[in-house]
Amino acid sequence: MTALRVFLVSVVLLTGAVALAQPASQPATGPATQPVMQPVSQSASAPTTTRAAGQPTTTATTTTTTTTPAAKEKDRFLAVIGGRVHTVTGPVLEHVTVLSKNGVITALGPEVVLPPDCEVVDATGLEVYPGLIAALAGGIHGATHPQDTTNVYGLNMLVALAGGITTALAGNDVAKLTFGRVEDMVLKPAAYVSLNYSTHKPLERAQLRADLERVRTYLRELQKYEREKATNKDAKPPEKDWLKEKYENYRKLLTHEAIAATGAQDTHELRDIADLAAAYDFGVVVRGAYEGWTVAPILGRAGVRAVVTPREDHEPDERANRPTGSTIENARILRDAGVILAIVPQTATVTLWGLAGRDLLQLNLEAAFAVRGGLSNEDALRAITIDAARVLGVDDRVGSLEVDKDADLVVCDGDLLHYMTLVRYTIVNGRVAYDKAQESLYAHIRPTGERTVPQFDDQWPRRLEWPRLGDDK
Amino acid sequence: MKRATKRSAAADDEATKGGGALVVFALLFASVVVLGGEPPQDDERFVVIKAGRIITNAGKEIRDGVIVLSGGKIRNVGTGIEYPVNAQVIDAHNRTVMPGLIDPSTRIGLPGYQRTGVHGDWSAASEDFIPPVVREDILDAGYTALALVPAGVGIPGRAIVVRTAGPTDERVLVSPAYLRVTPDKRVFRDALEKAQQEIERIDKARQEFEKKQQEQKPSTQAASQPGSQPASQPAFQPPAIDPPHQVLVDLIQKKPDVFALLELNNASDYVQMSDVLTKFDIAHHFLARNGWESDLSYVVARMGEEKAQIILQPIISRVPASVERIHLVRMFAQAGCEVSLTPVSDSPREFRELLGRVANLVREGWSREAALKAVTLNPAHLLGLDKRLGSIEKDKDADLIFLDGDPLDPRARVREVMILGEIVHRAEVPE
Repeated sequence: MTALRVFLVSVVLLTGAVALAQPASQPATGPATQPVMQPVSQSASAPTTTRAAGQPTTTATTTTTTTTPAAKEKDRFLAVIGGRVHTVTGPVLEHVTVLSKNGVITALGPEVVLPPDCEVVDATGLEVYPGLIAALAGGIHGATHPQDTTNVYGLNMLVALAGGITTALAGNDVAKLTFGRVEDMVLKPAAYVSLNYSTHKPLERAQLRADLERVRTYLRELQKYEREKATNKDAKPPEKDWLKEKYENYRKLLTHEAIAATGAQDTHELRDIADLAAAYDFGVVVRGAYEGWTVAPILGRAGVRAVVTPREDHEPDERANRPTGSTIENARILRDAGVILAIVPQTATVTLWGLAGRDLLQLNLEAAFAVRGGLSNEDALRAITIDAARVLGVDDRVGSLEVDKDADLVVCDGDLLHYMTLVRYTIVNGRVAYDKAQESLYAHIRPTGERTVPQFDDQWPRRLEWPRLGDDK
Repeated sequence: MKRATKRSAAADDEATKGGGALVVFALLFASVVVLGGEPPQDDERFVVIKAGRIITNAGKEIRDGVIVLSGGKIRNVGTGIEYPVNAQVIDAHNRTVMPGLIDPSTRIGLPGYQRTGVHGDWSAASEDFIPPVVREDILDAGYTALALVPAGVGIPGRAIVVRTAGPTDERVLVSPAYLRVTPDKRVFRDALEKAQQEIERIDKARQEFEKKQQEQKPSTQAASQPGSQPASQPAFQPPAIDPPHQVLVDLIQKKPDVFALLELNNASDYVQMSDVLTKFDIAHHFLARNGWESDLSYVVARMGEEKAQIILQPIISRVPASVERIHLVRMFAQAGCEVSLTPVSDSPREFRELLGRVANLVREGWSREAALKAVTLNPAHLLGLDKRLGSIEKDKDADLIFLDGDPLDPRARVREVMILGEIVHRAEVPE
C-alpha cells in the first residue's frame, strides 16, 4: 500500500470518464491488470472526502500487515461487472465494473480490463452498493476477541450477510463478516471509550467530570513543558504514573485518539453529554437518542454522532412543558442539524425467532422507515453505509465504493430501500461471502428477481404443494 | 529327530465337519513341531482358526480360510495353508472372523469431571478402571482396543490406548498416547505460545552456557599443565520446562510418536484451529462431532485437501436449519480424508449399536470395505498401531472377533472375542 491514494471525485465523474486507475507509483501487477483509463490528473484527484490526511496510523499498519502475506501468494482478483453502482460518496454509475485486487478496490469504471484469472460476479441489471454497516450489533461475532471466538460458519453471520451487512460492531471492536475465514476479520479493535453519564447517577457524573478535568490539566502541563524544555533546563514533565486504565482512556479521548460512546435517550441526557463533549472537546457517539429531535441543533454544534432507530416508539411525557417522546422524523431532523447518523433496527442482533422485520436482517428497511420520516433516500443510504462507518471510525476503509477502499459490496435485485429487494451477493474483502442461489435461506424466493407480487389461488395458511397420492395414476 | 507331520487344511476340514458350534480341541501332542526347522517352545503352540469367512481388511475377503496363530500373533492367513499337526484348531466354519473394533476416543465407564486449562502432563493412564459390567458390554460389542481420553476442556491431558481384555502385562498398547485438545482456540494458541517461550528460554540458557564455556576455555588451557588430562567439561543442564507444557514443546519440536487430537464441534472450529496451525506446524489429527445437525460440510473440501485423518460419528447428519440430510462420513472419505468412526456417545448401548449404524452408512451409499476399515484399520493407523492391529495379516496381533453373520447384518452379533490368541469373551446366546 502506498500512501498516495486516488479518490473518486465528482469532477471526474461528471465528465463521464469514471475509471480511476492506480497511480504510477504503485507497483505494477502486469499490463493486463492496469485499467485502460488513466487517472485524469493529480490535481483533479486531490482528496475531497472527509478522509483526513492524519488518519490514525493504527489502521494504516493493519492494512500493511494484513496484505503482506497475501502479496506472497498469488494475487486474488474479483470483478463485479455490468451493475448499476451506487458509490454513495459519488454519483450512481450505470454499467460499470468494480475490480478488486486482494480485497481492495483497484478500479471502478466502464472499461476496466479484467486480469486473466479474475473471479467475475455478473451484476447486469442489478444494483451494487457498498456493504452495509451495523453501527450496533450483537451475536454475529464473538463478543470478545472476534477473530478467536466467532463462529465463522454461524447461521447468524450468514443471515446478516443475507441482509447485506459486511461490517458490524462486535463487542467494542469493529469486525467484518468474513464468512468461513478469520483473516482480516477485525477492522478496528477498541472502537470506543465507553462513558456513563446518566442523569440518574449524579455521583458518577461528578467523578467523570473530575477525572476529565484532571487529565486535561495534565495535558496542559505537558504542553507547557514541551514549550519550555528547550529554553528552561529546570522544566520537569508532569507526573504521569497515575495515567493508566480509565485515565489513559480519557487521555485518548481528549487528544482525539479515541471517541466516546454512551447511551443517551432523552433531552436531558443528550444535552448534558453534548455539553460535556463540547466543554472537553472530544468526539462522542450517542446511542438511542429518541428525543434527539428536540435538541438537534445543540447536538449538531457539539459534533455529536448518533445511532438512532426510526421506528423506536416512546410516548410523550404529558407532565413536561416541552416537546418529548419519539417521532419518526427524528433521523431527518438530526440530519438537517448536521448530526452524523447511523441507523440500526430495534433489535440490533439477528433473531431467528420473534418479530420479523425488526432485527439486523432488515437493516435496509429500518433506513427506509427514516425515509418515511422525511429523510432523503441518499441520506438514508448513507446512514447504513458511509455515515455508519464514520460513527464507527472506519470510514477510511469501508462505507463507500472508491478506489483503494475495501472491496465490500452488496449486489441486490432492486433499490436497497425497497421492501421487495433481496440481496443476490454479498462480497467481503473481495470474496463472495453470500450467494443467494447457493444458500438455502432465500434461494426459493423470486429466484430470477422478478418484481411482481406473486398471486396465490389458495387460502391462508398456504399449503406446501405436495403431490397428492393417486395423481400419477 | 522325528519328521514333522503336516496335514492340509482341506483334510482337517473333512475331519472337523459337522462339529456344530464352536469346538476347540487339540489334535495331537507331538514332541517336535517343525516350522522352519526350529525346535519348539512350550508357549509357541500353534492355534489354527478355520473360519467360514475372514474379513482381512487387506485385500479380498477369504471364504473357508485359515488363520494360523502363535504367541498371540497372526503367523499366516489364507486358504490351503499347511500347519503343524499338533496345532490347536478352532473350528469357526460358521463364523465370520474380522479384526477387533477399535475406538479412537472414548471415556466409556469413566466418571466425568471438570477441568480447565493446560494439563499436558496428565494422562488417562491412572483412570483405566472401567467397571467390569461396562467392560463386558464393550467386549460384547466387539471392541478389542480403546483410546481412553482424560476429561475436561482446554488441554486436559493425554490419552491411553488399552486392550479391552487380555493378560495384564499386555493390556496397555500406548501410554501416554495423543494429546487431547478441545475446541478452544485461545487455550490452544496460548499453550503453544507458552511452549515456544520455554524453547526460547532454553535456547537462551544454552547460548549463555556456551558463551561462558568459550570464555573459560583460554584460562583453563593456560592453567592446565601440558600432558595432564583436560578438565572434563560440565554438560549443559537445561532449565526445567513447565511440566504441563512439556508435551507441547515436544509437538513443536516434532518429536515422533506424539500428536494432538483436535476436537471440532462445528466447521468454524476447524477454521479457528487451522489459524493456530498456520503459526505452529504440529502433528495433529481431528475428531469432529458431526452429530445430528452439522455444518461440517463447509470444510469437507479443505480437510480433504489436507488429507486429514478424522474421527467421525456414524450418523447421517442434517444441514442446520433445514431438513436436508447429508452423509458427512462419505463426503469426508471421498474428499480424501481417512475416516475413523467412534460411537455416538460413551454409553454401552451406542457401543452395541455401532455396527448397526455403520450398516446404515453403507445403506445410504458408502462402500462396505471403507466402512469396515473405518472401525478397525483406520483407527489403528490414527493411533499409530497399524503395524500391530486393524487387519488380519502376518505378524499382527491376534485381536479378532467372531460373528455369527455378516458384521453389517442387523441379525448378526459378536459371539467370541479373541485377544492375543486367547478367547476372552463369549456371548451368551440362547440356542
